[in-house]
Amino acid sequence: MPMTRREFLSAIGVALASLLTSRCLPSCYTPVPPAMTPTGQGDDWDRLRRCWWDLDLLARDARDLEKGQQALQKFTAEHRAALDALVAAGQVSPEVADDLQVAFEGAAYHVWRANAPITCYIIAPPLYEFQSNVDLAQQAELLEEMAKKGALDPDTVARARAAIERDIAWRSLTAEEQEAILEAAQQAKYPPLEELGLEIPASAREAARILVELLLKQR
Amino acid sequence: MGRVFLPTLIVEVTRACNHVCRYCYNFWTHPDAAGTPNPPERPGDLRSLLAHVLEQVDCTHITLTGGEPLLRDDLHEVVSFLASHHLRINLITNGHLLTEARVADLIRRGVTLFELPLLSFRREVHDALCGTRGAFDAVLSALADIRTYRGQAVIAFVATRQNIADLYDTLKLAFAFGARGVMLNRFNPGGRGAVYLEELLPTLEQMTEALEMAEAAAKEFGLPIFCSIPIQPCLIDLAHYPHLTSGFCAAGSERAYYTLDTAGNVRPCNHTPTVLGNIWQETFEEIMASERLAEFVAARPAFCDPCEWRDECQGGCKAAAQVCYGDLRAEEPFLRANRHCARR
Repeated sequence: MPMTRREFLSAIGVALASLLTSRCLPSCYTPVPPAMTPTGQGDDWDRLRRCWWDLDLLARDARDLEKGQQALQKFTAEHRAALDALVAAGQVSPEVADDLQVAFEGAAYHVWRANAPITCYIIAPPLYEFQSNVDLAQQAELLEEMAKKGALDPDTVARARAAIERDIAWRSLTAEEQEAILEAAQQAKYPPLEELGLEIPASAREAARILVELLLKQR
Repeated sequence: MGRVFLPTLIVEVTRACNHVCRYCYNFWTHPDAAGTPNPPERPGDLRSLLAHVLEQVDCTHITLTGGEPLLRDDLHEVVSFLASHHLRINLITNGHLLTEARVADLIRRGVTLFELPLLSFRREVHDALCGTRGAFDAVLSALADIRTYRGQAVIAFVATRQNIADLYDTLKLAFAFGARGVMLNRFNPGGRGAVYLEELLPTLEQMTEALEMAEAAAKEFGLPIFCSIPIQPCLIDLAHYPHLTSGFCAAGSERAYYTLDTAGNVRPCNHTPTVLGNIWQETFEEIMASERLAEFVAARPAFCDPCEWRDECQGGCKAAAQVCYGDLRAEEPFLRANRHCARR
């Protein structure tokens, strides 16, 4: 599904927020000129900048339900107010201001949600993501164990096993190959690798297989 | 008309269900609710309703539930409609109707997260709790398909006396099938579940053991485990389980999960039968400001008054107290059964 303009800007905001809240300044290794404020601006640019710089305060406040909600609203309102002032002063066009606000709202919501305590009943991110083939090997091992213990349907187990093997193979692909598969998957049913016309060397397949067997102690 | 921001909205797309789960919390499955009319479920009406709601509500997630949502013939159209509004869509389903083709279609249309029950690693235990043969195999088959089509799934384990000892192996099974998280819900009686209160409600000791198993599994597999039904801190100190997450009733807060049925009735959550208002007659903003909601939020058992956690915990699940004992201020079943153990 193509990304909308709003989603794109929101994603930009989230990426910036992630950098800012880690306090990762772009000045450690490469000399950079001092941050320049566009000419003719004054406090309103500072107000705008402060909203971004203070996202770590939002992260802190978000750990408390009431304070977090209030902080989220305060930050987004403050950012909007600073933009409105800049628009009124003719320093930013209304269209650009709206885009900036979308990016900031995406960033602020991301920071808030990532830090807010979970409510009852509803599951909340972050969800599990396997980090390495070792994780996948552990899944495969448990699958075999539980298949025996729970007398699982062999066909279902085979499909689950195939999915794990596919994930291991996936991790062996290049970024370009992964992109091609994702595009194809959006078009239709997930196709077999053989039908994608990818050049996956036999050695890569063999390496994936060896890795599975190795980590399952089958070698 | 003012817009309101809600992280999540729950939509009960149907009351019909193909399972007869003994632990069911849907209030309309309670024997006392027998004979009450179901909201209309005409195709097209639901999309009109959702469009009307989305004019008033900014939300990022919609959770589709039931009953069994897959019994709706137009579910795929509803999903497409919501996806066109750039919403993240969670689907709560028992998985019995999740064929491979349907999994692929729903993921393609925009379902971002499936939530399926997995009540044991043993077929007979899962099927008995669901009151339906084949339920266990259907869930595992659906999980395999969801992974194959690169979807995401979490599983819900409802902890009852009949399955709680199976928790650790069930978590292993969930992990092996690619679950991205687990909702460890202590049995929260409501609906049909209230009928089986005595035989399903876990003891405090059982629940404590379950949390220890869950803590170990979360640590071992890195699997996020959410204690989704509030656990009273006076009964169990959740600080002992740092790898688990938990929360309390969010009704009335901006993070509440307001629940909408097909007639447009809005409730504070999906466990309570309390209707706050109807979206065709009032705005969402008005409904959220209603006295009915204020009463719901304020309700708390008198037993909790001296407790330092009373404002956060609120006594646990007031909706369960309401369905089981007819009073939002009653002590809900888990608290009532264990009040003598409460740390004060």
